[in-house]
Amino acid sequence: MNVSTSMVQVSGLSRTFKQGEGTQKVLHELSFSLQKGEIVALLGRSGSGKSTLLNLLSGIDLPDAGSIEIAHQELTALKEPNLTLFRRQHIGFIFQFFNLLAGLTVIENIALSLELNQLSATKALLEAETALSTVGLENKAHSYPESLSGGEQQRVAILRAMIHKPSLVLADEPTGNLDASTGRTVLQWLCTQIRKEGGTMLLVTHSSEVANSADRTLILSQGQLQAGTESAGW
Amino acid sequence: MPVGNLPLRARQSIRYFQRHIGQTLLSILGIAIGVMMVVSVELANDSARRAFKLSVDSASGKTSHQIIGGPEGVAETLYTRIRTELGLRKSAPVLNGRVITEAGESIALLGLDLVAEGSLQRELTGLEGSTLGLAALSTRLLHEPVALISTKLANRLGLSQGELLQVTTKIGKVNLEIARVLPTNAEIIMVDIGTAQTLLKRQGWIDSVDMILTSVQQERVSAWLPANYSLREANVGTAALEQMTKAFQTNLTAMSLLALLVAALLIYNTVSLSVLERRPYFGTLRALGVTPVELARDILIEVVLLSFVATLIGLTAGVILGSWLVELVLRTIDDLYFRLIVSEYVVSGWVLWKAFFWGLGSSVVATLLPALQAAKSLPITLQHKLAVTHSLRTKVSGFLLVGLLLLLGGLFILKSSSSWLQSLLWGFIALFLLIFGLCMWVPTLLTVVLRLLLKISFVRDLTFLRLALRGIETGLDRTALAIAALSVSVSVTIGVGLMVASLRDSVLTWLDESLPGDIQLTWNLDGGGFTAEMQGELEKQLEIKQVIPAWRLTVESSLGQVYLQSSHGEDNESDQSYISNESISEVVQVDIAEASAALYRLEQGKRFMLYTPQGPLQVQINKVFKDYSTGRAVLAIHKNTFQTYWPELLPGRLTLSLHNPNQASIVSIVDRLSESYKNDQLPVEVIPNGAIFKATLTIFDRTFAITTVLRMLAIIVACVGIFSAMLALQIQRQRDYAILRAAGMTSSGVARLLFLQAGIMGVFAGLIALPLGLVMCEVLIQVINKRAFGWSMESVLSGGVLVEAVLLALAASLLAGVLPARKVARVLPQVALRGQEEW
Repeated sequence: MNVSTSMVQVSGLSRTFKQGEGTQKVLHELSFSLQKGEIVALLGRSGSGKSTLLNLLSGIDLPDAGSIEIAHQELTALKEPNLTLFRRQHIGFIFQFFNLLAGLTVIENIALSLELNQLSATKALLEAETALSTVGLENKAHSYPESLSGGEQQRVAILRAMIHKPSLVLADEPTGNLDASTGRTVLQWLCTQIRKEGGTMLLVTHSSEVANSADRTLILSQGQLQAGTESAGW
Repeated sequence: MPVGNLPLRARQSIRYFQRHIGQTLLSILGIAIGVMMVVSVELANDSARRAFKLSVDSASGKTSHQIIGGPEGVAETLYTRIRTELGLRKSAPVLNGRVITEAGESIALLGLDLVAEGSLQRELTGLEGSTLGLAALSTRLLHEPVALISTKLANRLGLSQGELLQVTTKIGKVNLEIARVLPTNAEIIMVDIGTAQTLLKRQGWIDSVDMILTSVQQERVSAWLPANYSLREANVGTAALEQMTKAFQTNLTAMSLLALLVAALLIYNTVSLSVLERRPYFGTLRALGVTPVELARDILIEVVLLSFVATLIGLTAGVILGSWLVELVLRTIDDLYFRLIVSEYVVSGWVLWKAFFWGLGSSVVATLLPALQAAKSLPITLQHKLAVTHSLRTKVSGFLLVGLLLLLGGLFILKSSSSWLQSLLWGFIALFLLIFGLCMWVPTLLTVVLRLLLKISFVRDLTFLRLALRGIETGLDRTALAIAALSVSVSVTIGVGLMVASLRDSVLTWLDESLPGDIQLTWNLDGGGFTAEMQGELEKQLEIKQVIPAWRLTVESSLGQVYLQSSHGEDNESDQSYISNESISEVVQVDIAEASAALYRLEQGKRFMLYTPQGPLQVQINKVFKDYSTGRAVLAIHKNTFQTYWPELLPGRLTLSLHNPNQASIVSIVDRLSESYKNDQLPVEVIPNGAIFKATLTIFDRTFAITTVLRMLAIIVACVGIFSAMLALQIQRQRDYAILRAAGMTSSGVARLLFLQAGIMGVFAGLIALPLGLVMCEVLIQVINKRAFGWSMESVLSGGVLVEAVLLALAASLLAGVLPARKVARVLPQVALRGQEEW
């Protein structure tokens, strides 16, 4: 493996949650890597730790043990606020339930990522407007998210996650909340965008159809990657 | 609101508050009321303080010392000698007396040296300056019966400049021309000292010489002063009065601070609610890359802006309320202590700034905890709206311990014999510690009671009630705080309510004891009184069973002016032991009124000098008696002592006891006597006891009207607190309510559930308020009022006040529960279950 092209390097990653009186080991000494420009699907049953892994990779949750290296930066060595600053610059997160901010209009939601990366609100809004036109939602620019359909909301969420050109996009079941047809369209468009930007994406999904769109697949089971999946597709 | 080029996060915040406009307005209202209470009470107190100072200044100038003499006062020649022989120009003569208006009203007459060059008193009475045309007035003041009166008095008497004011004086009826109407509120008629001497038949005499002296001059005057005269510090009485006035104001300030404390709890509740509501939003922001510091800063900026607006509203409302309160405060001081010469509502910049920072500061302090809590949470935790930390539940024992320490601290201060802990301020600190301490116990008490209730099988069988109780326990973070806030507010109602009821009861008992008979006859002019013939004529009247004379006199003493009255003991043998001989000199036993003893810090056995026509007389305090009159030293002395030392003095009051004291006979006698004395042009006021009772209670109720206003405001603040707690419960338990709805509970059913929770919280707050209020009442009666006014009273446990308090808490919380209950009824279960409910 060429180290210089590695975007994500995870080793010995563990995460345990308290559950009542006891504990539940969700991830157990997990190790894998993602190459730059690669789209990888992460499959697994409910409760297998897929979302937890994404949360740890984005730094919105902290591991109990192990290391995560993204774009040659050891994430576990970072403390707040550097961890957040790294996330805002290098990571784009797409949530299953979109998590658009209800108090911001469509265009403002997209521009927020740019503004967080020190672009003025005016410039950020201009750039967001251009991005919106690429998905045909320019007429919804000043609408609030609640007036959009699920597919439209997810496209806005994807634009928000990608507009600042992050090194890594993490997508947590981005089509899980959409009907099959809309899901397919959105996913196709997402993969096209990632490939166009030369980005890297880890995509959590339940669907083998979605997984087929990826360069390779990782299967998570009982907190560990199933043997042989790490190199699948390579 | 247009958001223009504002940063996107700011736009999001603004829209959040716009969408939650009702809640936002309530937060603003809560802070604004807190600030309004502080600023209005402070401004009212500040104005009253200024008025007090100006009153003292205008009565005696910025006098440092006074020369006083025997019972006749100071010879006028002495004043002339002070100015000529000693060359002390900073000196002024003072002569006081009373005159009767045509309407029979007794008004103070003040004789001042208004025309002498460098007059101390001219500036203070507003005569300095060309606008009043002093030069033209000088000659008339000296040679004509002209007077100066205040605008207030002129308006009341319906007089204007140039008109005549007819008054009855010692030399008979006199027409005084109103030479000037002064822009003050003095209930006083000012004349030149010479005119006053003529009207009061005191030619050649004045009451005192007011002076401003350096320490060197003081020694020189003392050495120079002829026998029978003494030099004393001018502020002996006023300092004590000022201290009492301060005590009254401290009571008010403490109440306003208590309200601000409740408001701060409310702010905390409001902010934590807005944070709680927006946890998913904050979680998304954190996931997108907003740092903890940025998040905390955002929350703080929101609160600063909100509280800035609220504080400005509070300041404006406070200034308006203050102008009304100042009337109440001044009227109280006026009723209790003396007639204020000057009253002007002054809006002090310092008070406004102080209140501004109080409002803003308390909001920021109250916000710190929820803001930091949100900032330090992991984004993943924040994203789960329902994953609210149950921090309070895990810290219950810590609260219990801190509460215990605070309670012990409060009790230690109250029980301590250390002199520096005996002050009024420490009394209040102890009270606050006790309140805080008991508040700290609320989470524990609430948890224990709820768990006990849930163990009762009857409760367990009632699903609805069980759900309501569990809901309160789950939302302990907010419910305990809201209950504590409401309890404090309601306890203020109980504490102050019981204290006022106890005081009213004591005043009634005191009036009953100190007003024997049925009708009081008062001689309304200084000097003179009821002759033996007058008493004999009254005794001859068939309806009158007994005529009891009472002597009274204002005399100079080493304490300043004191009011002497004949003791009620009448011919009791034990009272004859008032006079005792000692080897050094004769010592006369006197009784002192409780409030006066506190005012002058005197106790049994203390001695001081009285200046009698027979020369200085040493008196010793025999005992302290209950008396609720204030503002002057009141001494009771046996009538034999009066006759011994003031042989010429006639009784100033007669008490008439009737054979058949019914309303009709009382009215008939009062009318007949009043008419008779008026025809004879005698300055006698005839008042039935009932009228005195009524007037006293009117003044009493007026005095405490301000506390009612403040109490009600505190309740409103607490009501807003309960409202926000109920909203928090609704948000926190939204998913549970949605499940209940999905399981088949109707929308009105969930609304009733929330309403029931509000009711339970209200009852709980009311019940906690009972011991809290009783403790507050005891501290107010046993400590605060004793230290502030020297009044002692028996606690009256009024069941009505207690029941009212619980009902008040229940009503406040039910009222606060209406909107959240309606809101929860409107939530669509499918939306709430999906976690996409309104943000």
